[in-house]
Amino acid sequence: MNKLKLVAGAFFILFLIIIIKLFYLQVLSPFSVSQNNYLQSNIIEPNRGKIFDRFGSPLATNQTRYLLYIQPKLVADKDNLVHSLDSVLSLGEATLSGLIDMNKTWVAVKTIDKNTKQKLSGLGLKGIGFQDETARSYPEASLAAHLLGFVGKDYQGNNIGYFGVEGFYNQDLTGLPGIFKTERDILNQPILFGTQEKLNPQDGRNLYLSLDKSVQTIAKSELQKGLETYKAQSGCIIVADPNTVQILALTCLPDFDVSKYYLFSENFFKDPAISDTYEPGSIFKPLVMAAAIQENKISPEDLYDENGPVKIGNYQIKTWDNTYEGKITMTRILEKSSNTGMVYVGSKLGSDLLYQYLQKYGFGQPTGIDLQGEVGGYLRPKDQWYPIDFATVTFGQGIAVTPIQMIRAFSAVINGGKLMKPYVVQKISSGNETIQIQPKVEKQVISQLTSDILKKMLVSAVEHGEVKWARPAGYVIGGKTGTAQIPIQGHYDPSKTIASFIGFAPADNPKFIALVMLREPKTSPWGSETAAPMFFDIAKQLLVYYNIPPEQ
Amino acid sequence: MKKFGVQLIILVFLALVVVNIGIFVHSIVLGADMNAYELNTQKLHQENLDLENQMYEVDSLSYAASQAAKLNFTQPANPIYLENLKYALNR
Repeated sequence: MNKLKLVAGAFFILFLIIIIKLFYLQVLSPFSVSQNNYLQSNIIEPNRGKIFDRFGSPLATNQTRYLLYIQPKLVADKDNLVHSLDSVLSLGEATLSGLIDMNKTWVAVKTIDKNTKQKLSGLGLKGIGFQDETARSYPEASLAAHLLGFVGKDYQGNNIGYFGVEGFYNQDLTGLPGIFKTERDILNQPILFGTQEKLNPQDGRNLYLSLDKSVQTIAKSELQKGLETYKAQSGCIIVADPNTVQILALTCLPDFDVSKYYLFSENFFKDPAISDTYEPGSIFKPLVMAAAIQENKISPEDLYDENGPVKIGNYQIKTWDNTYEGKITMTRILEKSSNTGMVYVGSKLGSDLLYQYLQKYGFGQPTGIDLQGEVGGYLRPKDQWYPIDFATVTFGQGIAVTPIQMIRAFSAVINGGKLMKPYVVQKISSGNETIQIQPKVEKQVISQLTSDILKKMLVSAVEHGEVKWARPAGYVIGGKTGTAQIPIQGHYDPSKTIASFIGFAPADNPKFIALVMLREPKTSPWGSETAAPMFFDIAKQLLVYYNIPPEQ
Repeated sequence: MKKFGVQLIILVFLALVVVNIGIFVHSIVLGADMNAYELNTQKLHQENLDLENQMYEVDSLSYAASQAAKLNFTQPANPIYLENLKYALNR
């Protein structure tokens, strides 16, 4: 009986010890606050969708970065810590010392990469830690800065895409977070028989762009060269498939470093190709010419008597070089880019039809391209137009359009008359599910016949233009130059122009259309002497890239 | 008989206690294993991302351009197209 009592007594003491320990842990210990520390709910962040070019080359992916933080209260020797950190980070000892406020419990220092983290871990410093973060990685750097956009933070500190594709498709790219509920003990080990629930996150969708990174590289390098050669303030190049208006390349300079966007002013983030309007100048002429031919108001063989400036109200409209050739064909009007000839064409078309065609071509409305930040330009109501406005719009002045609107409208002129919706993303994929984006015909603006006529006229404009360009031999290329004066405070500054050229090749079955635009080139104000040579340099490279053999 | 019954109850009780302690210790060990696997999975995921990014970088045009510059491959290609191939045709 005594042995039994001894055993019972031993068990009683054991249980008493356990109860006292439990009492200490659950009631007296600093860990036992009102919230349940055992059940942890952690959000599992989804991986942001990746962005690829049309051939699956990555343009934007994800990488792990580490936020270096310091817990000042655990730092024994501040000076040693600052010195050791600075030997790796090179931020400056004064800066680091200022960051480490000994009154704080947690201080963020800097986001670092894996190599830096390994170096810092090797130092064995007390009081530092690393918090995992996911950041965007751009294998092609800023090749397509405006088109891609960037990933920044919203006011709650969550990742959010701004501008371009990152902004437009932010919801698709973000995905849905998961949740992980786990019961943990005091040592943060999972409690096996406790709650272990996991809802997997849904990663963001991957986007496959219509962009061709080789064409983008050609366009960007030519634009850089052009800006330096012609000493222009800025410029844009857009290359597209005229049959579908899939964007093959879109670049504007100056741009910004997408991985370090925070070092740049906000002014650089806006994509001028979709967000800035300008008066297009003479590249607008083929659109009006196509409308007049479509409505049977003129034919290419009709003659116009170019005998001097045209008077409209108190205004006088002259040719760009103030020379007049007498009786010229409609084709010759485009070849020599005659403003007075275009006023004649516009008068034959009539102001009602002219305005209707401006609307048919999509001006005054956004194109609907899948990039964040597009503006629609502005088409004043018809009752606010004066006769001079109808006259000047025939040669592309007095109307504000975006470069993407010009590419779309010009594509309609050469692709059989179909006004297409431009797009940048051609495929969205998520796991096993893929959504293919199809080209969309918005409306039929002109007929196939009119389109074929205009193509011939534009080929003639290139072959018999005022300036002889270094064109690729053996190819039939069509296009139009443009030199538009820039309106400043209600007046045109003759010394400031937007020089442009829009062209397509091969002419009988265009594989690409390209718009080259330079703002305020200083070496020459004329599109024929600045933007046009750039176009032909790009065309040469694209003809080789697409393996297009010569036709002649 | 009564004494045998009491001894049996004590034995069963002791066995249950030992098994209980065994299961408890095993669950702690498994919990530690779970923790280790979680950390390993996270580490592998990060390594995977790093390797993927290295692969993308090597595959990029910017890397190709830098290698081309190093190797002095900087001349543009100017292909010569063959026309009027009379002799190559089987006639």
